[in-house]
Amino acid sequence: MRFSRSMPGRFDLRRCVSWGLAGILVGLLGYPPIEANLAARRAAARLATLESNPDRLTGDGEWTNASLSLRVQHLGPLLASWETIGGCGAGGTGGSVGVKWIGHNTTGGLFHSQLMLDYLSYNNGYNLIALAQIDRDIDQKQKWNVGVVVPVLFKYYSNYLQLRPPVSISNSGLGDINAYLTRRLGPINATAITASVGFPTGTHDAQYKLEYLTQDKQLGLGKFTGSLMIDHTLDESWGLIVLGALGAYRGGTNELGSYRAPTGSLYAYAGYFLGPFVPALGVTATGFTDKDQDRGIPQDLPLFLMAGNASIEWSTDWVAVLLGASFPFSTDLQLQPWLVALGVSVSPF
Amino acid sequence: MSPSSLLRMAWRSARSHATAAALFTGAFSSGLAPATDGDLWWHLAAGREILRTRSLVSVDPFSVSAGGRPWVDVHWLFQLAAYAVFCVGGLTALVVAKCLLVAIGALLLLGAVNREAGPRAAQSFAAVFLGALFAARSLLLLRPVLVTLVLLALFFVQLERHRRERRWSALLALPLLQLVWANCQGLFALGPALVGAYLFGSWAARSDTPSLTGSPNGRATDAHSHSHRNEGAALALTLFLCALACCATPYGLRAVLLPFELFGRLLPGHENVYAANVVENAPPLAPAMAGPFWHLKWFFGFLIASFALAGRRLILTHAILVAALVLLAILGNRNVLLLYWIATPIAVMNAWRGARRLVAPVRGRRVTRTLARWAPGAACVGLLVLLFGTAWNEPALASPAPFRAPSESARILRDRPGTGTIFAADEYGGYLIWSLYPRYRPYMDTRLVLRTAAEFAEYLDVTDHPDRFDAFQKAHSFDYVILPVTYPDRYLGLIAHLDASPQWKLVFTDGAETLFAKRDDAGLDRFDVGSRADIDRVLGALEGQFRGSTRLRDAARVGLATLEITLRQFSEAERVLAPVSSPEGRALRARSRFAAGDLLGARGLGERALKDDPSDVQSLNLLALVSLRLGEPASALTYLRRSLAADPFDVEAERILSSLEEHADAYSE
Repeated sequence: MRFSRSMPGRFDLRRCVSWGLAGILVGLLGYPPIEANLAARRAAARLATLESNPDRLTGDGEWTNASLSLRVQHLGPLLASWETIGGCGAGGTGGSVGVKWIGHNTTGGLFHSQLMLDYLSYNNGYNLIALAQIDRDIDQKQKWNVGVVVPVLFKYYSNYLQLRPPVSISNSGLGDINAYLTRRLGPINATAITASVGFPTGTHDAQYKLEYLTQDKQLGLGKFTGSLMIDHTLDESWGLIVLGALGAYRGGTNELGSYRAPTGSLYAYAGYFLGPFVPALGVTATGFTDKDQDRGIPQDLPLFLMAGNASIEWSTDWVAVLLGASFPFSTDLQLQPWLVALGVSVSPF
Repeated sequence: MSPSSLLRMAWRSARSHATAAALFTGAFSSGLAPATDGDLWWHLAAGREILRTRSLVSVDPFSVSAGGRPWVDVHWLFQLAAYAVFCVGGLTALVVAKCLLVAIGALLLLGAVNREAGPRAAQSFAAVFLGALFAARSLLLLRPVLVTLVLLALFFVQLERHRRERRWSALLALPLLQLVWANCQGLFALGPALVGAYLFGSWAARSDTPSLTGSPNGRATDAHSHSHRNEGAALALTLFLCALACCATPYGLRAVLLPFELFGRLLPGHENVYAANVVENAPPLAPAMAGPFWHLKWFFGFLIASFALAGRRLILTHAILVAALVLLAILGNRNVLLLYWIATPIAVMNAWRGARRLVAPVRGRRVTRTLARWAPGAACVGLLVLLFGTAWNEPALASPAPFRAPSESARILRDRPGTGTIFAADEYGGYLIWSLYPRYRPYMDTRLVLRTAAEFAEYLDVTDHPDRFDAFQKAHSFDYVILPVTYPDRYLGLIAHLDASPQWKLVFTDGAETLFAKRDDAGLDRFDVGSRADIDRVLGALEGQFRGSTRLRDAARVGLATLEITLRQFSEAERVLAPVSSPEGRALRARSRFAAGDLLGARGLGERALKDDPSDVQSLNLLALVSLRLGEPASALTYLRRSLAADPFDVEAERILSSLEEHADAYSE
């Protein structure tokens, strides 16, 4: 069926992947010159410090000899086989459902960026959600942090409205962009309070055959949203424990009469340090003040969810990867839409 | 049929045959170089051992540090084949076999591009692929990766055929090929990964297709879905069978886990001793790799253009493959070859799809027609000339690459009676195993999978801190030590330590390798690096060995002079370097004078080098140190500033800067 073409903000997966890959490659291409530029600036600053008092500098001592290498070969572009450095051997000196990032993550770069890919499974379809997050600390003590989260969604539902012949639909595009501000408290910044505002950038009035899609199949509600989150991290020698709470205003009622109820969550996670890996388990309890409504009609959704979460993070100084899953259950022990997530976090420069 | 259409057919046929011939010849000649890599030798030794004992090797018989440990030798099939080829025609036959495998793989990929995008695209592919092979030819080593290249090409061709024609018969051969792959190299996991990528691509395309190609009444969508479902089922079954084939090795599940263990060693990080110290595992985008991997940024540029051109015509499977290969390549430079091998045909297919649309408005113009017809051919011819020229200048194929194998040290030990153990550079280990097993066994070789990270770190610690070698020697009682001088230069400190040691004596060197024996070993005379007669004998041998190549002869002299300076024989070093006019020779001469205390002489040579190249970092570093020693700190800082501006990552300049900071702090305290 051609439904998607008629929708506003039509998401073209292939074009998106094409440009996404091209963008990643441009990023890779741009990395070495930016890194070189920053290194040159750092070196220049260090030299300036030394130049401020050159009389202190002396070339006496054995260190000047030791500083000089006897490697004089230039590794140019057109080397003969015997000149190359390849080969084996040691070288020369030279929301309510979601996966919370539990682990070392990355810190210390010019900025911190994170890409989380979520796959949310429904009985009759799935959602693919890509959350691109960029943030940076705005003071030296890392007390304040600002960031932005840009979601791109692809929602796919088979056998929509039980029509004959069966019809599958997809809705995709930009979701609601969020901006947030974090304040860290305590001597080791163990407590963090994050206030977030969501902008109504996702479409909320997509239609199929002149009928609006139900509100959960839309990319947004068309209203501003907001949330307040508090996190406290207990660092232990074996790992870490994260306790927190989240209150979210999900937009209220829009002009179509659709309604998303405010929600509150409590969560606790424990992660274990295993070298570069941090496996973590957690639990989240989420309650809704009321049932969500689709153009005035309450939807058949549970008011309380309990989710079991598991994740494993692998990290180095500058890159971290997280694989996680979340399985929410309603009070009658029915498994609700579950989620797996893959995240990459980088702190470059 | 009219004569003109006959002529056109003949022209097309000739053109496609010419493209194939050019690609085959170019790919073949890209591999024409003597064996440089140390792994080859233990592969040959293992092949010989399997034949001798008529059984597979399950524990390491070859080395001191891993002797008796379980060895998951997944390469056994490659080792048997390589040893058989070696027995027939020696190293030359092995190099020719390597070139044939590369050329056959290239032809397979050409066929895939031809079928997908037509003969013009195939011509473009030939030109780009030859360029990529030329750039990455240092990675075309005599190793099991050659089998991986051919099998990757076969998998790619068959999976492409299945994607295009939806014929499940195209997949039939893959599990059998996987069986061979799993018994040849640890990269066999790429087979199931490739099938998995096509399976995922097929699934993603099914999800994406209704909105693009379905009809309003849904029938076309159903037919399409049915076809997609069959395609997915065939791929899923193939994936299952390939995964099963991965288990069909003499080593069972341990072999299946090997690729994951190897992948873990590629992950960059200071704590990962393998990633930080093994040259081929270094990320190619790291500053130190910028020279040898200058081509990677151009290839990325080409990929970017191809994806931008493809837009919505992109095949998702191709995107997955390229993304995965880019990830592998940026993790470790050894994987750059795999990226070029598979991403080149994909990028050409992408670019061709988009380029048609782009050039449509000017397609009819004469200049466009001429360019499209002749540019790829001209590029192929240019690259062929370059490849032939490079191959022509390589040393003889029948011997290992110069300076890379300790052939003379091994010959000396082979001619002696008795047995013993050897502490040698890890890349020498394979050659020593091949030449001297079972009488002599090296402590270390490049089969790092047999060693723990702690053991490898301990070995590196001993080489980087020579003062710790004596305690290490006490624990292991080595009979000989064999170390390289400049390829790599990591062992110079240990060479100096052993030469000064009362327990060891240098008994042989040719400027590339050094053989040390115990002082009380009466059967071997000491080689005196300060003796003119001893050095003249070496120089005479080097002149004879490298008569045909000034470049090789100069490199040999630079190696010998490096050893002389390391052992503080400055006048002999100057004499060895006298006929060398290359920039390397001049740079080393200047450093020799600096180390000898002739500061003005060093400054003169450094300034002369700067006149030729004002941004020569090595000369700038030297002049900075000379200025410091002469009590001119302001001038020293100026040189250092210029050096760091030219290369902010230069290790030597960074070392000088750190030392200056350290000493300035000490002064102020």
